[in-house]
Amino acid sequence: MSQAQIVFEDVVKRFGDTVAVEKMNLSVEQGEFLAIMGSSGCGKTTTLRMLAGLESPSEGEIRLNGERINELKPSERETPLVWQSLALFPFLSVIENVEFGLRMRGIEPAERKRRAMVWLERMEIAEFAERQIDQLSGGQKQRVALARALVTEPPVLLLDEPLSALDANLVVRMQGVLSRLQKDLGITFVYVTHSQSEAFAMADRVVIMSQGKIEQVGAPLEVYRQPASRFVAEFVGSNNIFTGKVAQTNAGQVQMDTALGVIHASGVQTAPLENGEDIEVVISADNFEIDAVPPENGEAIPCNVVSEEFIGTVVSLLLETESGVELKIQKQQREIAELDLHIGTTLWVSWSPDAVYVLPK
Amino acid sequence: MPPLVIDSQSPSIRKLSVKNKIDLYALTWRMPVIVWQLLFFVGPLLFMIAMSFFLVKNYRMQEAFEMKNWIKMTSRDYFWDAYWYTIGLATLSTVVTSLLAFPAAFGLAFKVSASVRRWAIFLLIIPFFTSYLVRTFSWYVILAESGVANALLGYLGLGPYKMLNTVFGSIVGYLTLTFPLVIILQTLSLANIDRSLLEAAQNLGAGRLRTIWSVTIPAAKTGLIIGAVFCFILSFGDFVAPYYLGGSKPPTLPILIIDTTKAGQQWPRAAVVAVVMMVTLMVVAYTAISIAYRKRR
Repeated sequence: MSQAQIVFEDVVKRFGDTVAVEKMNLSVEQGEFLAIMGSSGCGKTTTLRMLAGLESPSEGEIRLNGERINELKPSERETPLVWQSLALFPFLSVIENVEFGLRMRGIEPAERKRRAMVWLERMEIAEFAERQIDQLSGGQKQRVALARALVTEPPVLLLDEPLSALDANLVVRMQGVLSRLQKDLGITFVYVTHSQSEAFAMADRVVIMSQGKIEQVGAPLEVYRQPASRFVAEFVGSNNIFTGKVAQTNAGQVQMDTALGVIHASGVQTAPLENGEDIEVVISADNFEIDAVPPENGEAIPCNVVSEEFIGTVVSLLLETESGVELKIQKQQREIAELDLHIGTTLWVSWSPDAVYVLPK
Repeated sequence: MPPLVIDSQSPSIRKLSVKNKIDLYALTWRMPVIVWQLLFFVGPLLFMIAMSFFLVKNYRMQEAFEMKNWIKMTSRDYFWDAYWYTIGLATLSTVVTSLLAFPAAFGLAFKVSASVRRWAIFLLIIPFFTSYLVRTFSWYVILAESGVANALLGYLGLGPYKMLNTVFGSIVGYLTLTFPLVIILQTLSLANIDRSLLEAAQNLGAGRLRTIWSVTIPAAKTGLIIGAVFCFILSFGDFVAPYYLGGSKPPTLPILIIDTTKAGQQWPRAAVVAVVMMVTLMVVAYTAISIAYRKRR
């Protein structure tokens, strides 16, 4: 079996009495794009800083290529970080910023200038080489920060919410840049973000953290469709979560009573359920069908439109059943254009038993 | 690798139309400052410059416009000796003070909590509560031939050393005047450095000392230079330290001014010295400030 490049083994980080990271076990493969997600204060940035050596673990061991790195100083590691604030040196020009890491490694001036120029060209900012940092736009600064971190050809690049200061258009563009860069270089990216769309767009695997603990590790689609806990189901956004009691089970088919009435689920993978057991189920917002008239087979619930939010090609609807249960539904705008929705319109909502996901206990 | 997509954003420089109209409201509020400056700075300065062309006859000053004082002062070796000696002494004071202050300021900026830093700055202000002259005389007791310092050194089998009436004495006096202020200015500028810059330096392979040299100092450059400028200005113009602790020999320019006025009421010649000092300080301060705010290293 191939050895993982980065390993966290029972890593704990305490700041005084507060536990920032609790018993973390995580391994990252060489060449992987890993995103660590969570709300602020969940320990994701601390995890990244421990990798860079800017914090040292209180307990446990961090290994890079099989070697314990707990005691290495930040300057002895090959784990450059791209800061949220970018942390470019304002008193150095663009090219001097990029050369900094090479200068610290004692590379002679002509060689480091050549290597810095290669990276500036690669990031398409060669024309700004002699400029001052404050003469650049946000996107250009981002490229300088990337060039500065990558010029020493490290095995791992750490990124701490690098896109959070950019406007929406630029974020999408930089995501493309980062994805492509990571694939071309074949090095490991560890990317910390609170943004689900950033993480899902770029990462091979996503780590969801909450209160210092890992809630789930998995491919983006897996985290999205099969959340490991209620926290993950809520965190990844557009999920409807219902609590209920098991009424009947039979070989992966489960029938349950919820606020929405009797729900059927098929293909349930979780541990055997017993009748009367409390369960939580998730129906993703994009898994509903809606229609202006009741469907012929009758399996639909009438709801009223409470609000409608148009986000680009997708429309987010908030509906309410007659008994007052709220449903979040997402649809492609063109799919529902003919429904002529207004607040108060009655719609018939249905879903397939495949779309019902039972949360693990 | 194929080229990456580049964003088209680049900072635009907005040109503001220049208003020719005088803003009466703003002018009204600026008036007190302007009046104050004219009355208490520009006025006396002009008078001093004018006075440097006056003549003294029978111990009485007479209005005139003669180059005599300028020729007399600038053709004398003792004037230029005092000039370069004062510049040398003030420069030495600036270098010593800045170097001694830096570790203290570094510790206060990075190694202690914000509340300790506040207390430290408060304590550094306290010396200014008492007269500088009083503090200088307390050094007199400490540095004298049979003073406290030599008594302590005597226990170690050292000395006695001559500390009063030496350059060392002058520097101790200058430190008394400038040290707390320079520490405060350096601490504030160091404490304002974005910490992520220091982490970034280490992250990119700089050890502790290299981080200080290649990031901390350049990032705090403006404040460090302003601290040094204050130190130079105060030392250059100080009369007390070189007179009482430095022994007034050789004389510095401030001592020369006193001597000149005492000897035959030569206020116009003293004004020559004062004008030369003003011009020197302006050149030094202007040069230093433009280096402090210059973009490139």
